[in-house]
Amino acid sequence: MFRRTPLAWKNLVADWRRFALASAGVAFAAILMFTENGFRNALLDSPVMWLDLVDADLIAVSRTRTSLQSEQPFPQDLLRRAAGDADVTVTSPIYIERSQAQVRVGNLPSRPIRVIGIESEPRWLTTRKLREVVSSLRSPQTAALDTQTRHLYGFALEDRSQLQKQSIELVGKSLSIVETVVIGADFVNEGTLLMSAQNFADYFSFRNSGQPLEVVDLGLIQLRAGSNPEQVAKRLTALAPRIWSVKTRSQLIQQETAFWSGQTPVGIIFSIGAMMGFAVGVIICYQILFTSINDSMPEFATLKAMGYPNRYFVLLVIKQSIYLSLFGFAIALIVSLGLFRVLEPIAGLPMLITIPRALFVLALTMTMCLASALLALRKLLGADPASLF
Amino acid sequence: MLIARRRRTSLAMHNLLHQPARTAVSVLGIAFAILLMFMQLGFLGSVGDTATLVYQRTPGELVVRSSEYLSVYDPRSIHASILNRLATTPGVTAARPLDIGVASWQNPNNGEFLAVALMGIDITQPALKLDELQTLLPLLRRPDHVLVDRTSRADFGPQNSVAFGDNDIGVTTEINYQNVHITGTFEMGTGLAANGAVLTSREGFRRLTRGDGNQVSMVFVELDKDIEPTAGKQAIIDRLRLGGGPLAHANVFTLADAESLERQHWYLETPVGIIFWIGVALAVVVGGVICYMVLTADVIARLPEYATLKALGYSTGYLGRTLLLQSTLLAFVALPVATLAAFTLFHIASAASGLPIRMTWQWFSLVSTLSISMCAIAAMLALRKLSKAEPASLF
Repeated sequence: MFRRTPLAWKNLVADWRRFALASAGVAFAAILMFTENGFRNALLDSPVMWLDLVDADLIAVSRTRTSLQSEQPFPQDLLRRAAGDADVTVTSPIYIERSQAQVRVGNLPSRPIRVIGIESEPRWLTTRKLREVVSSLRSPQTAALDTQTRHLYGFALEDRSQLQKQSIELVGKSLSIVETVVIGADFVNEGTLLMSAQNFADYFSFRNSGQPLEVVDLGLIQLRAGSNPEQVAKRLTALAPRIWSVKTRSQLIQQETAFWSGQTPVGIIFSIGAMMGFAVGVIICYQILFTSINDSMPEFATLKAMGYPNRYFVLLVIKQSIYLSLFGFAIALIVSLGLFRVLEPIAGLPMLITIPRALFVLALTMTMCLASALLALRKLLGADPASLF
Repeated sequence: MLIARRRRTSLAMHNLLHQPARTAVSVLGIAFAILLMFMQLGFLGSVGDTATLVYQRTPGELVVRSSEYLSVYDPRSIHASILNRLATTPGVTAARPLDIGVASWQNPNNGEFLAVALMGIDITQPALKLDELQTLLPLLRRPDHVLVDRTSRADFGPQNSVAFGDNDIGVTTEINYQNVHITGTFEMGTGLAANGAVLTSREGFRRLTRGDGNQVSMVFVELDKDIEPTAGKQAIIDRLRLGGGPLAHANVFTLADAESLERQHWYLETPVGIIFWIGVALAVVVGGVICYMVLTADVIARLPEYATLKALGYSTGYLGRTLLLQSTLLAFVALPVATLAAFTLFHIASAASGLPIRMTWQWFSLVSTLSISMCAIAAMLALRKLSKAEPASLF
């Protein structure tokens, strides 16, 4: 066994230019899968991106909230009651307004923007930078602007000093932007303003019939170390099961992902796109491997005539296609990382490649290379050596 | 010359017919690339189609709307006195108000809330073109009467859990936390912006949105038969300017312009539209690559034959034209295959996503042009391989 020539490898690299072309072809198919999956994931990531900024074990939402994007608050009292639970250390309310929050920059038409109100000393924010920003939002009529806000609004996103001078109105009252933060836009929210709960109450004083802070959109709950989040979540939900529901982070992400991938037509369309990426990959790989096998046919025929069994060729082609998929994948990964950076600002959505996603595409790439290799091999297996020359 | 051309055709044809199985694979590869373009364009088109449904279903020639208008489901509003001002403008035969907005709908089965498109029409002069409209109007007599779009997704909670229909008549649920009674169904179509639609009277709309009744979202204007829409548009603009006040800033568009503006908004300003455009661009590149691979594989396989032809004195130009012809033939055979497959897939994707995904002549001609030019470019690139066809080196 060990004395055998590594024929698969030698076949591949016999002609360097051709090897490069073949790898590029496979890479191309893999990039396509990366991109289609990337779009689908952008849809699923964007509504829960903000969770990364938040250090909370449990999140409370209104029972009737179908997705994080719908607007359904619950009474602040529930959160106070939850704070009395033995396992709960801290609870913090988050206030969100969207459809009522009309913002106007200069003379442009007003547009709805997402306004998030938080208390002024949020220990639950994961980055210190963000905590500092929030503590600088104490003065009335100030807010921080999300740098991912779309250009449609007209904010001077590139120029800080210009941004602070711009004339901005939120629900008819003037507002100054004193800081910028990175939160992220998604399919529903085109921009975000972050402000203190006090300022939030001033701008949206009409909310909840004049008691704006008595209803909460999201409740963040931190637990004592060592407690079981799932059990506590169940217990807290039971406080008012008809009004709110307390979820662990992963439950919330799961529910949100299920909503966007299954309930909205967009999710279904991108799944179709991802499947087509795979099909394209198989076609491209088949073409590459078919040509490669076809070219080596006289050599294979010689080997076959010498008595090498079919099993040998199957293994050979499998090895060859695995090498090819690994090379192609490596190129694709590098190119996709660059491509996603370009696409992110164009699409205005987070385009992330995580390790499980990269591994998923790697598995798809290998599958399509193997599938197409075996398809391409059929001609060789059935053939009579003499006819192959 | 004529003979030469016939010979060329027969060589291209002969090349294709020589190994029918191989040609079939090539055709399938190219057809797949074309199918990919159709799919992405189909998805993009469905975004535009569903976003402009309102403008396709409204009567008249012109629409008057607020200068603050963002999109059809967030049109803002103008003062209702504009109705009177428009109705008294010479040349205007009707000015029909339409209220529209997004509201929260409670699924009557499980109590969950969903966003729904809410429309309010004046039942004495409805701003909607629907065949069944005359039978529907009596069903909207009271402000708490609503009609539900039969194409609304099943998540909205029809009694049979599939689609809204006669079973749902008499059901009570909530819109914006206020009771409404379903008195019937209508069919207008839903889409990406809203998965469900509800129709009510203007009074009903005012009640559900807690509006003050002095505002209207949009007004659809019908002109005298002998007045050109653009002339009528100018007359209305002049008339509004002359009247002064906030109404002078209202925007006037022909319905066709309003529809194409709405399409542009969805295609170029929303993430969904942008992503599908990128998808179309990717599909064109993929298609080009597949065609190139199919053609070069063919050139390489026939290199000895081409070398022989060259040795016989045929020019590289002749071989190039043969290849170009061959690629065009491939595109022409692949195109109907892909179109048929696209029709089938559109059907399936429509059913799966609940969106109307349809083939249009524009898409067909765009894809035809793209695929023929894609094949031609691939052929020219593959031509470079032909320069290798040095007679001596090949034998």
